[in-house]
Amino acid sequence: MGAQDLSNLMRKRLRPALSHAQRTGDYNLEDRISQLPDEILVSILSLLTYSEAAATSVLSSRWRYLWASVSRLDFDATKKLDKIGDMKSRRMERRKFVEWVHQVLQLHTCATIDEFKVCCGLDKAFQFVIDEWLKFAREKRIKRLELDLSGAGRMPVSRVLHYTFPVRISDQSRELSLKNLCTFVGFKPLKDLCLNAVDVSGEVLQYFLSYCPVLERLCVTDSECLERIGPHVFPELTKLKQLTLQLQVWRDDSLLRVTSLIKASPYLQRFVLKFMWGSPSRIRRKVRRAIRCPHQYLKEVELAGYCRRTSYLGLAVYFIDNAAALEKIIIDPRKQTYDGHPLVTCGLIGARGRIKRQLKAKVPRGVKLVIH
Amino acid sequence: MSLSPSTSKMLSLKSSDGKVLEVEEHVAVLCETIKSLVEDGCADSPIPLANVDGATLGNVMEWCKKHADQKASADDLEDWDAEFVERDQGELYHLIMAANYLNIKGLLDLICQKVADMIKGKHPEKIREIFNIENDFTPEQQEQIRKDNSWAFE
Repeated sequence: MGAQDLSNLMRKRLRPALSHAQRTGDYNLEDRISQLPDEILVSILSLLTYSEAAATSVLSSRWRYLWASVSRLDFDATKKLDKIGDMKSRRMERRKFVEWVHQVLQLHTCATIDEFKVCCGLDKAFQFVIDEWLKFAREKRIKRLELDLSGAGRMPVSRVLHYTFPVRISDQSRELSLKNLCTFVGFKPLKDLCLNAVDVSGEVLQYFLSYCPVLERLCVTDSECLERIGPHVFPELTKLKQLTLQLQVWRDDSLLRVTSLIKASPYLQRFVLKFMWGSPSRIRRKVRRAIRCPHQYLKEVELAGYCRRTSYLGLAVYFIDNAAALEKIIIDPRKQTYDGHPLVTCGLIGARGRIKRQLKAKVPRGVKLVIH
Repeated sequence: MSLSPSTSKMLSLKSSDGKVLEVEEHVAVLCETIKSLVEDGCADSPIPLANVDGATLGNVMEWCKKHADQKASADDLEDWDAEFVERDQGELYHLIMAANYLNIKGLLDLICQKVADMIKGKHPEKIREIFNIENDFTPEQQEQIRKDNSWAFE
């Protein structure tokens, strides 16, 4: 043990004795914390979870409304709901949670907020409430928006019941739904958008994104509509640096359709694509070379749920051909699941070896190939 | 102009209780407030710091000195910071006010985090006890607040 380690060890041993002395001394101290200016107290509250910050409202009248000025609104119900044993009580608690979030948003005093995050298993029965939250977020000129409505853990939401972001475009009342959609767009300062277990179609996303000029990070996972993404022409997203998408693959025709979104992002630096468990039909054909569309800034590509089919290879080749600055390509052949824990199957070792042999010859020197 | 330790000149800082502290310029400019004075060429005479007492100024400059040291590794600084914030609440209060006044983001963040850690995971009664906060609510008011935010209180 070096001298440095020894002195660290002694310091650590001395510390409890010191804090005890401090504790006993504290009884004579006045209430210093309440004398701090509002802005400092609010920044201290911002470092707590939103529930913890809200609980300080009961301390004294000085603290009553301070928490309503915190600009990071992080509502996470999963931990608490997971602790409740029976389904009925969980539903009741969930209802309480939703009411509370709603009430907090109405009380909120800041003109702008940085972050709004909801993590709770909510399905389309809550469509109206969540729509209102989104309107609130837009009015508050939000920078980061995260909706994780999967209810991971004990309250998983069935895929057919997903909340639709932000309105469902139905063919019958197309005009009306498009008009309705207009009331949701215009998240101008939005930098970060993350949607999990939320249904968003390619069409809506295309429209929504055209009003997000500074978006830097986009992550859409477990969205049935987007998994069937069509050949949309996305608005150019000149600030987008990170993109994460999850796609269900049913037909082995062309995974290259996802490239419509990445083509719209010329400054993309990191791209993650998760292929979901499906059994794509196999078509024997040559690897189709994609149209050239250079991604000059793309450094890292991750393809998860990868298997040795022509279309997957086609996509890998697309990036190898088009990303001149590529530093790393990560291939994860494990089966992806919606709860975020990939499955390890028995054929995995063999699959890794085959993928390696298949790709090695194609990956240029200087690009790191990582196979999970 | 580079502010490397070898070329750094000395600045004198005058606290609210009249104590004068000589500090190397590259250390003192960690305070944004002082940095802008230096850049505007207004830092010749002892700089009066009306809102910071001598003892606190000494502590603040000790922190700045450590953080201006380019040889210190991130791990080293983290350990040192953890030790630095082991103080009584009176000292923490003066440090937080000084960091705010002198505009030292790193120090302000550090102490805010320390105070947040003292609150984290504790019941309101315990928080009141730790910080000597007097509960000026009537039992009815308190009940109402708890009811309004019942989700946060369980």
